[in-house]
Amino acid sequence: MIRKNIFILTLGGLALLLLPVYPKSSTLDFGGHVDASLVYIFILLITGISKIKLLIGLIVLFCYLGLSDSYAYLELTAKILTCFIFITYIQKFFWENLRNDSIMLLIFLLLFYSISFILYSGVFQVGLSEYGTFVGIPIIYNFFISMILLIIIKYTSWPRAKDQTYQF
Amino acid sequence: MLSKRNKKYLFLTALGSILIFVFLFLNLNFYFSNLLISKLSYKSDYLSNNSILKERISLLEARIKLQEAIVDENLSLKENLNYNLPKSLSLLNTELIIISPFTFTSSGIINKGSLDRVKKGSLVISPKGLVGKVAEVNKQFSKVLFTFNPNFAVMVYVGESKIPGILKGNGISSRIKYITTDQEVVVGDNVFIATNTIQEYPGIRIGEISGVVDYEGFLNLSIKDLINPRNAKFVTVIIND
Repeated sequence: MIRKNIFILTLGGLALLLLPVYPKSSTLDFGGHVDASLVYIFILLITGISKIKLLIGLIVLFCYLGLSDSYAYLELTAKILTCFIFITYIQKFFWENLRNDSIMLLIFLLLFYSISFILYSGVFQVGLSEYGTFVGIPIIYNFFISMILLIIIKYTSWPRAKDQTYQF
Repeated sequence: MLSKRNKKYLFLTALGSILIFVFLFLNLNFYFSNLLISKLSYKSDYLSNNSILKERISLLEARIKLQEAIVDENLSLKENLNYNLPKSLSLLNTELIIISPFTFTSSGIINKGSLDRVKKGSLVISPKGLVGKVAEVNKQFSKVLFTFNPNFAVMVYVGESKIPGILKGNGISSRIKYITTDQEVVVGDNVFIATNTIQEYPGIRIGEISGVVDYEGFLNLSIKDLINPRNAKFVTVIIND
């Protein structure tokens, strides 16, 4: 029923998009350690790739880019590159179940932070230990939040098949 | 015998009358329903008192929640006021209303702008340390670059001999650069905001040196007391007119 209600879907989508921007909004902020765009992109990719989902992902990224400054293009590049590598080389080779999804999530996060490290060490000469200290906690937070959302959305959602009655 | 035209006229008149009657009836019902209910309907005093008390309890509970939120805000604002700064500075307490959701290049928006005398380049602090610098000013809000934003740069003095350097963000942390290797800097040296900037800040201490690295003829200094501003909600802008 909710799936068919475009108004509720749009409203929910807007709330999900805008609320993490406000500090201490009790949504996905968790002390500023969670990257909401990264979580949303992973959820969109892992629940089945389609043109609409890719478009939504791009809208999320560009919406958040508008709230950042010029150097955010570097992070945007890292995120788009991560998505491309993830879709092309990783996601196809995993059978879909909860354990594999959690492995894919870990690969997705490590891929993004590795690409970011390459970019930032190239541009700003950032050291590995300094980088590791900075991203250590965000990786853990992003992993657990994405995992919780994934379980809620993908594995505990209402069954799509209609109930059938049998008479014996 | 009525003609076809008259029949049609009568039908339309009757329909119009019914519609007007229904409209008026509904309106009157709406306006007088409260009066009718209070005067004519039967109710038990015991039950009505009970429901009134229940409503009052839920109202009071909501008020308590609001009060608790206000008390929390007041506590964090008090912390801001206790920040150890020279009395000559004029400070403006403000709230970070939006924080950029990207991980590395972080900036935020505060709810004070040019109408509140905020200027481009003003420093933003919190009781825990330096938060950043105002980068853009609008009438009612301003954009703040956090210390680890690559666009953030502020001139500082290191140690008692006031060695000048530039504190600059690199997306992950903020480091002091452009100090030549012939200068004597050791771990534990205090770092102050430079006094020869446009804002003419008095020497505000922002932290101490935690690491010294020699990099291509210049010292690359890490600083200890910089905070992660993503946790901050209430911050203070140093206006210094």
